[in-house]
Amino acid sequence: MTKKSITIGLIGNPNCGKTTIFNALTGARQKVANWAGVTVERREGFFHHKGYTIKVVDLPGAYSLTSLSMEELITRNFILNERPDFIVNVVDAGNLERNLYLTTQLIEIEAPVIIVLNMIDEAYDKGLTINTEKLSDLFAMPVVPTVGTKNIGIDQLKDTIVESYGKQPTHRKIVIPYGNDIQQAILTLQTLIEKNTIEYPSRWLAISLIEGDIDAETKINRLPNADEIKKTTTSIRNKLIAAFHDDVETVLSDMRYGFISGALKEAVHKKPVKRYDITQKIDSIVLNRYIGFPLLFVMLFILFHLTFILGEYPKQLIELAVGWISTVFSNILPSGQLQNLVVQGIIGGVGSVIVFLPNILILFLGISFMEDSGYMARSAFLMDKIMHSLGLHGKSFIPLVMGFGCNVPAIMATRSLENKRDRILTVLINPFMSCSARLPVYILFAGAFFPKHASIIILFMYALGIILAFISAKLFNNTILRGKSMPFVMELPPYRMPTLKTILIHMWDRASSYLKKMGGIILAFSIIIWVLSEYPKPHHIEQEYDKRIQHIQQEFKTSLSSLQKQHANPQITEQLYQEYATRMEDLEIEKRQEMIKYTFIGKTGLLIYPLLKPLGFNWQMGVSLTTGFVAKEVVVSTMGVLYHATDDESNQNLSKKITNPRYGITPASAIAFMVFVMIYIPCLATVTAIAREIGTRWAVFSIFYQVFVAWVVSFAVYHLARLVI
Amino acid sequence: MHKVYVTMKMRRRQGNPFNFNDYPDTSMDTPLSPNMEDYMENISMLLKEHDVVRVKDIAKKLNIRMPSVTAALQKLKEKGLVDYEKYGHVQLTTKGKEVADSIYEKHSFLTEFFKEILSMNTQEAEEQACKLEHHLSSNASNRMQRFVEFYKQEQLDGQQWINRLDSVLEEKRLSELKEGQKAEIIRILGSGPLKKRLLEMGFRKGEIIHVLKYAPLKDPIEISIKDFLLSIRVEEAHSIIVKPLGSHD
Repeated sequence: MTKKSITIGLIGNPNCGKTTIFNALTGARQKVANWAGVTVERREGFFHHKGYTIKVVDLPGAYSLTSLSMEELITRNFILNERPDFIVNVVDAGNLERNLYLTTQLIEIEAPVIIVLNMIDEAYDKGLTINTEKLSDLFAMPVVPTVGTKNIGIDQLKDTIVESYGKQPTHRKIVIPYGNDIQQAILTLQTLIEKNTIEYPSRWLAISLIEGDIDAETKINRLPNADEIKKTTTSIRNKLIAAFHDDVETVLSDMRYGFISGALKEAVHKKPVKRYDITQKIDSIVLNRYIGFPLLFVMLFILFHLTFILGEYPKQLIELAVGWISTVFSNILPSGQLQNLVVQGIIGGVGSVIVFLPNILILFLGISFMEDSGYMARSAFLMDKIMHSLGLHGKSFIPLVMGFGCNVPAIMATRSLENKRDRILTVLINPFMSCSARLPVYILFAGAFFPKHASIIILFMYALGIILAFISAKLFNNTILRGKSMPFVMELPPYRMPTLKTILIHMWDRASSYLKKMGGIILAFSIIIWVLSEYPKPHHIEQEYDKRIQHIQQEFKTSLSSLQKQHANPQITEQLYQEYATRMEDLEIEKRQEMIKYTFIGKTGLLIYPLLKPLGFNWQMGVSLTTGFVAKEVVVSTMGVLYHATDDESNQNLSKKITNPRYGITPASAIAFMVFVMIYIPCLATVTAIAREIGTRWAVFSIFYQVFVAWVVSFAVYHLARLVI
Repeated sequence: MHKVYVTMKMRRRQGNPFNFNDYPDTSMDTPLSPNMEDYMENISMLLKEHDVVRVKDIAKKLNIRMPSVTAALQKLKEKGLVDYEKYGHVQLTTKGKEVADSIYEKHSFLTEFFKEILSMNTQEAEEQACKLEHHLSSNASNRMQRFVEFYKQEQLDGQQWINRLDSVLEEKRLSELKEGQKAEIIRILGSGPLKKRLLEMGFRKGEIIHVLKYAPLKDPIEISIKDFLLSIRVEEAHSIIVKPLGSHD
């Protein structure tokens, strides 16, 4: 087989329409993974053209190739180490000057570049006429004009890639002119570098060293004459600073821009057009002093409502379907361990993951609409002052609000934050946003113990969560996540109507990555937890209690028949019935509790119980919290099992039982329990999402942190409440 | 004010705090409180405008109640600076005239300094001069006067640096601009990631920035540069030095 595959890297500024070009080239043939060692997304796709298979690697959006941010470093190392056949540099044709800055750096790193002049239609509307041939000549690289959203120019781009492949570059090699002083300095360093065999372009290394690039310095460190190079670099830098009365970075970037504006003067003709600037008109409403915030909250309300209220209907359908499937399997499979595993372990486990799918689909539909239309950046603009005071970024706001619905999609939504530190912080405080799964616990306990003030108590839970989130943000900011925060300088892209294709691809992406990556882990964990809650089998306990039950039944029957023989007072008979029912009930509860105590999970619950005693919890609460690791709703259902609440009107029945003084739950311990449930480990799915988004170590940290905070706050609340109530 | 107070204390220790015969040179430090200096200055100004000055004129000009004025005049009279009889006209003694003139001189060259050299508007220049005139030592005041004269001479000679100074004085931080203002970039302060990012985005000397909007909470700022819109925090805009163009667009 002849080698007929080409690898290209897609690169461009943020908001240059790179994603639309990627989608236009590859369609749905994409796969998303992470870059090695970091949780920055690596998106790949491929297409066939004229007998070639072309692999497209979508690189993170970047303004330059310096090693300032993780994203830029990834892009740069990809070019240097993986040596793609082409770098396709997408530039916004309406914003050429800034977009071409990256191109000048690509020239310096000696990458084979094809320029894509995207959104050429918008440039034309701005009154720009671009002479692509001239531009191609000046930059010495092919230039293809496109309109990504309308599929215009995509075939030409494909042709250009295939035609340029394997062909000796006919274009001459160009260099950015830096003037004599700098040129001399570059040459001096270049000669020193070239004394070694080095896999990086020497001119690029020399320029990077002059600019004080840290990554370039580490690349030099391995060379035998590293010290000499470094010394020369320092003296060159000092000389240049003296000559230009300015720092070297400013001088070099100024010269690059000089080169660009020189080229644009020749290749671009601008005629003044009277333009109705839609973006500024929309901004004057959306960012208005009075309307801005209300509008943001309306948007959020709609997003929240669609995600969690409208999403509830398909969610219920899925629940029904899952229920139906488990009934089917219960009927097919003979009852026993296998049936239990399949129905409760596997179907139950998978079901618990799949039910979130509608929420995730709708939320990401909304978020990608907000991102692609340009509103997301505006919401960050509005909220930044408040968020920044907590050490967060304006864009942290939306993921945090979404956390009130469900932490899983909310944590996935932090992807719109470009900076890693901001993202970690936003993810870590997200579990404090009380998700909807915690509501059943609040409703049960607040309703049972504080029937008159239930809503105030529930509101207090939400408020406490927000306060703890803010305190934690401050804390992390000053401890583990201290360090320089990246500049906020954020582009406010012009408003654009998002295309359906982009949104659908984006949505599908999230959904499939959710199902694939989380599904596996959660399925595995569900089975493990099922095993832990079923084994070891407490057969002997069951038999013992069955015997006792039989005994009581026997006793009851004898007493009843003797009463009937005596033709006793119906009141006495009634009393006997009552007595019998209570004894049976007690025995049944005792049986269940003893059986659960015997399983692994019950043992764990009992094991940790001494730790929970200072919070005023009984051991049943300890066991419920252990099972609640799967999902917070499970806390309620476990309590139902432990207290043998009948399934119909379960909540009412259960709330009657838990308030029964003989179980020892006081209002103070009830409130402490609610607080604990609100704060401790969110749920299996959230932990998995944290691990996927920011790494396993952070997920483990989050577990310990949440449990620790939960304990401390519950302890404080319990003792405070005892004083008050 | 602190300095004046200290000098007065020292003089008291010397035994003859208000003996002006020891200080014939009126450009010397006047041991008067800023308040008293203001009286002297204003009486002198009123005398230039009117033939006779009464207590009520002074009270009106300084926006002070008449009894306070009377008390102050009594003090000034004790110091031999003012001729004043109850219900009569107010006159300055020869010594008083010298003191008043010296204060007024400081006032006028300070005003000139702020107005002509620092290019501030008349009202602000006057206000600043009124505040500073009481606190300048004679040495500082002499040297400053020399400076103002030197500047005027250089201006007459058409020296280049005068123009440069004028334009430097117009420079502001981007964070000081108001909504709707346009400005030209002069330079970016500091170093590090922010500067680098700004340079990459094309914040070059001479580039025009248009301040479009402050966020409802006054931070960040929406600006346009070249052909795109940016959001920048106030603290970041602080490190961008610009020269405003015109007042408003």
